[in-house]
Amino acid sequence: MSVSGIVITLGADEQHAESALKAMQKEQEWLELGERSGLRVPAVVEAPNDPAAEERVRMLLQLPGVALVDVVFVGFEDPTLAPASEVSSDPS
Amino acid sequence: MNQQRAQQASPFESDRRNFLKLTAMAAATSVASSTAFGSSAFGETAFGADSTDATEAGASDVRWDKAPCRFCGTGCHVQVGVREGKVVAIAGDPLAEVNKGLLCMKGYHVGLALYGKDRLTQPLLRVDGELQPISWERAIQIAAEKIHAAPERFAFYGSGQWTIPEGYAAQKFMKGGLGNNHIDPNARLCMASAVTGFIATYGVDEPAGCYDDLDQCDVLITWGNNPAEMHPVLYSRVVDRRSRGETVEIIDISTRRTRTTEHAQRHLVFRPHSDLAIANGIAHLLIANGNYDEEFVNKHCAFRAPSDPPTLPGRPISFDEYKGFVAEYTPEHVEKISGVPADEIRYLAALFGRRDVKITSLWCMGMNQHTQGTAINCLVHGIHLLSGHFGRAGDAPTSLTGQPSACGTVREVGTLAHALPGGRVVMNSEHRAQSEQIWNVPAGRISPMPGFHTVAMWDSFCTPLADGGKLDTLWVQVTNPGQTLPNLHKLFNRKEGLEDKFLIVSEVYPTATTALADLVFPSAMWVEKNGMFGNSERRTQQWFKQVEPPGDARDDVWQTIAVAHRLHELGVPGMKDKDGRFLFREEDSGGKEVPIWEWEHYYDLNVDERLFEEYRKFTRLKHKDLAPYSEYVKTRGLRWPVVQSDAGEWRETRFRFVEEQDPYVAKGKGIDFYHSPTHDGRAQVWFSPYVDPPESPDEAYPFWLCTGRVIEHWHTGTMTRRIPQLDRAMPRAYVELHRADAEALGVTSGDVVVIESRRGRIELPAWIDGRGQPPRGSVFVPFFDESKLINEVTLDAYDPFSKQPDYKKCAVSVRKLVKP
Ligand code: SF4
Repeated sequence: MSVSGIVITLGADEQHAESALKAMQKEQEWLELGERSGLRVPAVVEAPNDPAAEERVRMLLQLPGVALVDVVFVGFEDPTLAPASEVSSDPS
Repeated sequence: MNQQRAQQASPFESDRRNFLKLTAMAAATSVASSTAFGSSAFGETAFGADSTDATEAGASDVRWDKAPCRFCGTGCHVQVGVREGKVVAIAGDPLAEVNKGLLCMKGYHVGLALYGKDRLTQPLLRVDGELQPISWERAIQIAAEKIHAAPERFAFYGSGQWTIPEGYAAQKFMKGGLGNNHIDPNARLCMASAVTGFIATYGVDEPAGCYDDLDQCDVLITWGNNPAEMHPVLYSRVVDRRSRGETVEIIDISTRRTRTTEHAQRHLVFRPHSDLAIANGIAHLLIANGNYDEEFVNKHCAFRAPSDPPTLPGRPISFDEYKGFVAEYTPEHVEKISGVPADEIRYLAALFGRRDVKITSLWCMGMNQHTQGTAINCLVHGIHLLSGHFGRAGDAPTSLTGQPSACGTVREVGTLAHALPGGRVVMNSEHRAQSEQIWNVPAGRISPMPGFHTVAMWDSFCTPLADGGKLDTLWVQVTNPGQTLPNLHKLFNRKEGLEDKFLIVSEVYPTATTALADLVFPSAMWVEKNGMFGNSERRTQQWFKQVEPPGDARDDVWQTIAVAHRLHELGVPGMKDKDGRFLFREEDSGGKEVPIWEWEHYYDLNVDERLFEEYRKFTRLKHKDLAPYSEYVKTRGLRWPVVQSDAGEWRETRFRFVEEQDPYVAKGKGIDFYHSPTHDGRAQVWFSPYVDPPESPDEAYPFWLCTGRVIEHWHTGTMTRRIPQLDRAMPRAYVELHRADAEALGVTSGDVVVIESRRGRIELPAWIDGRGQPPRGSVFVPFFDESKLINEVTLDAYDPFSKQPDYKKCAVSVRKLVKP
């Protein structure tokens, strides 16, 4: 399970921004939207694993009306994943 | 992923997920509702001390503390969440003025850098070609004996990633202890030309402006700079202004198209090395069109040109001579040299000629890694001075540093072969005497001869003593020269098999450097130790140790002090001060010596604080005043000079040399360059001619090669390649090729091509129309990949003043690999 805190910055076009918000509201299963503050919307993305979380963030970024997505929080430790000390990246 | 487990989450897992979600939402809400960059009043943060942030969300056994990000020179702050002795979460820090809660992809994964499976956890000694575990006791003894055998043949190679206390301890050990100036950092390879540019222009190092300029400028010019990938949070800070309806024009002057270009209104592609002609062309038009700032120039500037023989101070010239020199650089002549259309030069000159816009110039490696690096740095400062685009918020020539403490540790602590802390230099007898007094060492302890700069140091170390090599033992801390030195075959790989050379490496993971090490010290990293950094905007930052290092890994400061103490025990006179006491003696509140050279006692007191308070005495000697350590504990950094008000408050400085901002500018002066090289309060506007680069494409090697970083990886990837998310995002190095060149070579994306120079060759997959797009005749290769050492190909020619090598241009051939 992967949990990320993100900030979605909407584009200046209010119509596009509204439709982006509507599209995002449909994704309640994995996306929790916080209170909009100007063009920024705080949100939490849940995904089964990190690559899936990355894919979901990319998907949000592609919505018309979304200008930027900044990830501002990443939780690492998760009992359902291998411990971080067993990271398997082999740079050689 | 074990699906069954995920579907049947235990109550513990469910609590944990809820906690993570709460924390994640709190962090995001805090950033989303934050005051915009630049709109906070001077001296305040955008958030109140009691504002909500991630650390307050949910009851949990996670302990939160602040730290600057481990990676780049931007100097973002993160909140580090620790549970059961392990970093478990990272959130942006909304209290940090630099990033206001935002981080780039490297920053929010920084915690994972600690947990690669192959961390070095015990000292290693090379025996019969293999690194074998040994005890710390033996490791320290071996290092001390090697140094003791010939202290004059010993050198210390450090880093812009050294913390301030680490650099200071190494500096004192070498110059104040061994009387040996062979200490230089990897920052020689990244910002030495910025230093010489500042000194030749203002008589003192480091930018006058700060990141606030990015919030206020109307125009941002990036000179050979790709902040979208190299300083991403800073670039977002600018681009984000547009989402708030502000107008900021971005002009990208570069040798290839990058992510920075995507947000720029104008993109000027110049032939490598020809930026000097562009700068001279702007200066010429400012004068020819009569729209330079005559009042600013008359009041605050003097003019200079190269001397014969060449010296850093050059020679004074008159305005008329200057005007005559730049007159040659007509827009058409500049177009011929640089390939930039004459009308674009006219556009830039007209822009600088306007008083109603504020212009910030940004640069980093493109201008610094340049055999004319000092000259181009001076020329860009010169355009700003000539046009009066200086001294107002948003009007600033600003060089960025790549590393998190290139400013704090290298430029301010002076861990360079010629320097002493606080802007002092070894050649100056008064400066040596000041340093000897602060260190309480006998007069004459510090040598007046500069030591080896980086390229000379490694060349000498890789040359057998019998063939004239002057160094036999070299200690590397917090850097990976086996991957980053230019022309690696000459400057690093030659060490292999040399019996009379001994390489000591303090490291956190196995690297290209430890591959040739004779002795390896396992190091603590980032929040496994106390630390302080100084970022690109003169901001000094502090953090505390938050988790234990793995196994037997230990702090680099401890390593230096432990070796120093062993030398003291061996009777090396330099390890005593003039009262006969150990050079790094520390006492408890009762005056009793604390044996900080013994690991068990190292944290009996805060060694960082002790070293910093001693170092702070130096900082007042050249108006780079730092506050007491305790002030940095309370803040997310302060920009020097930091001086105490009559009311007892410590006040930082956003803009130097400007009345009411800089405490050292007297009332009524307006602007005062109080370290002027001409001692009259004036900055120097330089002329330097365009000269050809040392190596250009020819028939045998017809392409330009440029090297650099990518957003996913920090430098050589030692840390970031062990973070799965970053490794997945950018797993291997590549070569960017222009589509037309690729077609001519019969290459498509993914094909393996051979890149070859006069110094070496490597094979890389091609990337066409990729993230960066070089023009025809140019290729780009990132240097993060240990398995593809592009620096076996690069050139080791360097700037005559800064001694900084040029990684941005050399001649190579490119061909498709034909498998037999
Ligand atoms: S890598 Fe640089 S820009 Fe990214 S979070 Fe760290 S300090 Fe900020």
